[in-house]
Amino acid sequence: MKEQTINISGHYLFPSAIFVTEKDYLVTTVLGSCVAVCLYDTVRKVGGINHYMLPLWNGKGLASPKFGNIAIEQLITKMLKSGAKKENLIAKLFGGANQSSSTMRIGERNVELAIDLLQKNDINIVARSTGGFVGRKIIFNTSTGQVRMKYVNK
Amino acid sequence: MGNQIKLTDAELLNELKIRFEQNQKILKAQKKMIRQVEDLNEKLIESERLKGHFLSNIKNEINNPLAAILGLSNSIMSNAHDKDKVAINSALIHKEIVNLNFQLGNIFCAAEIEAGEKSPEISNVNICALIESVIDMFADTAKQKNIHIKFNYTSKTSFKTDAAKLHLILSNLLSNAIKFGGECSEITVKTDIDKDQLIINVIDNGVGIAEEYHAAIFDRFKQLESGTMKAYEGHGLGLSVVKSLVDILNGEIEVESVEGYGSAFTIKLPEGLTLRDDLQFSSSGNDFLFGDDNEVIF
Repeated sequence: MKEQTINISGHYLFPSAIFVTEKDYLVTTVLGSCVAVCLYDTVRKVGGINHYMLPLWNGKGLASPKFGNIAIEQLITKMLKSGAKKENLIAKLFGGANQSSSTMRIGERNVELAIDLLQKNDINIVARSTGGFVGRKIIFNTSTGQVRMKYVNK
Repeated sequence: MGNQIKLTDAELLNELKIRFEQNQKILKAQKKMIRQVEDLNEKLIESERLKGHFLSNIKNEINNPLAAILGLSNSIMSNAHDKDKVAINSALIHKEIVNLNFQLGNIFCAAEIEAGEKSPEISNVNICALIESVIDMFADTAKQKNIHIKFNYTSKTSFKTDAAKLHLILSNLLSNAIKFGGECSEITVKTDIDKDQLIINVIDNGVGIAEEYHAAIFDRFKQLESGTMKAYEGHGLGLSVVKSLVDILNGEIEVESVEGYGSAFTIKLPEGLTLRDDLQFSSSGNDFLFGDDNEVIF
């Protein structure tokens, strides 16, 4: 794996942020009950990723990609703006761990929402690692669409 | 039909009762869900409506200072020889521009947050200097209303956080305190650094907020008064920006307020981690964390 990390810029993706690029990047993010959707255009080599914390915006605060319904719509829109074609898109889905019983199944609901919205947009989920009880750290390679994942106790 | 189970009348009645109760429960849950959907729907309609208000509101917020700047700069050009007049008008222009800059900063920040383009940028920040610069920014406005701003701080003043975001958070809180504070009132800004937590209070003794509205004040475009007759200027974006910025910094914001007696806003921020500290992977750190047996490739 070593050769991959050489000469590729890194980007750390914070919660509630979106990152889309047609350049080569290694995007890292750490997920607990949050979910990250990685989209990749297999033909045009455009990659994009979001990191949302809650499933649905309830009208409170700003309509930001902290919420899954907004984060996924925006990610798709930004991908298309960057030259991706919807029919070339594949999705990889990570996160949504249920780390404590008091979070009202937030992890699960985050994952359900992603599956639902991606299906509605006819985007295939080709890989996923979701649920469970531990967090994940992922590194998304925007030039190949590959995701390396490790479980972390976060 | 050969395998029918015989039930006694009592058993049958009991079974019917259980099923009836189950149905009732489902119906109840369904009703509750429908109510939730209706609530949400109402909220979204309200949000759209407020967005409409926002657009007409913003026209005034930007037009008024712009018109003032246009007029003042004209007057400077035609009175270029009169040094005193030039100085006075320049100061007035500066004041309008500071205000305009603040308003636009809020709008741009909201747009960036909604586009997912705002992340924390952590550095060592001198909290006292930052708060003083915010107070300085509003000194003129406060003076106009004869409002006295008190600033209390503890000895430790250095804290790792995002200076620009904290600046905008405090600008909004202070601007609100001045806007809703009465003439000749007092505003207190307090800061305390406790272990790994920064606490800042902005306290005014102005009009206050009735308890039933405490949750709504952070809603986007929400001002408790709206329409052309509203008593206070502004576009209702400030506190929703504050809330979202505090979220980005993993902090909390609380409000205590009694109508007629003033409001106290408290923000609590955890010490930020610079990327190098923890999360960012360098090419070497990456090899260390990844590439072992635990890694999965998708």
